[in-house]
Amino acid sequence: MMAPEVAVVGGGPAGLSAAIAAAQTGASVTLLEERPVAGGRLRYRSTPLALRPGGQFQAPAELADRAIDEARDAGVRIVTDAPVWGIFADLRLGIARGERAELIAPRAVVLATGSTDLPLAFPGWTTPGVFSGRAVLMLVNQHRVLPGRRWAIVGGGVERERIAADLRRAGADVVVMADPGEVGAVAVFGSGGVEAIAVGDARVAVDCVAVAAGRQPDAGLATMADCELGYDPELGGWAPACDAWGRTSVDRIVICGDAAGICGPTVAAAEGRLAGLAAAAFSGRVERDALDAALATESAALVNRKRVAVGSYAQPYR
Amino acid sequence: MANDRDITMNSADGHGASRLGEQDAVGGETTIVFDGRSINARDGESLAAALLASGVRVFRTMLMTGDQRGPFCMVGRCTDCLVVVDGVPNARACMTPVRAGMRVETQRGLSGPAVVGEGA
Repeated sequence: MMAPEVAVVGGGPAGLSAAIAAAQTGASVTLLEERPVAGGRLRYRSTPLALRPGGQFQAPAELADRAIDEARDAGVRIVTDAPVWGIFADLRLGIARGERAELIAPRAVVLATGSTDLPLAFPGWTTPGVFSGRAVLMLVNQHRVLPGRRWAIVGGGVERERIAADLRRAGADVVVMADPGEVGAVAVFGSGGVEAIAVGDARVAVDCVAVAAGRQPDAGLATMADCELGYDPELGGWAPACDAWGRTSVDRIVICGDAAGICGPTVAAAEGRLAGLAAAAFSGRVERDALDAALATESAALVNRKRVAVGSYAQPYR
Repeated sequence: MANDRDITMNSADGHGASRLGEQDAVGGETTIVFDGRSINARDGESLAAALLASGVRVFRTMLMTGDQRGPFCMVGRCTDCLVVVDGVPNARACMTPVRAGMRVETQRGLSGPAVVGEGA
């Protein structure tokens, strides 16, 4: 694999937007996606959205397909089934390609690695039939599979409501919604798979359980690269610090989207457009005033966006 | 291993697993074999999705305890969905695309059926 000027890790709304923005400056761009198809959360979100403020709302999967087309038209090389498993000195990226490993050394890296679901370790949480919230959304909306009929959802927040709505639209019965912080003890029982959930003193027969405990930024590569991190519950926990364009404390590493703090697809796309320009600027493709102009353009999408600022925390992992 | 008895519940499908329709970007209907029985699948779809759709819940048992596990995260992180594919253990079912004629087995402990009863 040839080393590009910009390597983008992750093909969700942030990464696709970053790759397009970088490629449109003339930079050579490779987008690395660990799954068989790019699109990230756009592949398993059910409700329409726009990736630009004021844009027309569209089905998420259609937005993903359009962004992939736009990226290819701009010259982005999209490599799927390509997990990035490490980042090393001089910005070398370790990439798994089937049974082989490859190293590339791009000029700049955009980390658009998204988020991971937080687990909740209640008794019985490893019983087959208990799924992370994202797994449920993927199964129902992307794989088009309902793994059981009667459901309990353990957890709370926006994600719980989204999971409940998507399950019900798929014809499932959501019979229990329990936030352990409110109901106290929750436990799952079953042999050969989930059979029942106990909430307080009540025991209810269910086939499956979804866990909606929130998400955290996937900061694995940023941590490995020694990017400065900060802890902020509103961002989903530990998040890499960055400036308005996503530039981290490590030279030539830029971050965007949920990886920089949980934010959702519309903000992620706006951040991606800025991060792509910032990354291309490390190859001299973008002038300073163009970066400023882009920030002004995206400010509407980012007005309530919170992030960890570079220099606001001590290096916690040193 | 006491839990092995319960894995036969995998074929009972008393929990209402079903397909919701066709998904994008996968091929046509095909057949794979899971623990000796034939299962309908779509060429190229996630193996975990295909097994869940056909009512399979237990994908592996743990080496030391025999505890049962099935898909949890569906994104290749949790390793609870490890199965034996064409004789090779430790395939993450969620990240493995279905191929026609694939032979899949419940993974018991580390290495599949050959070590049943030897692990713990």
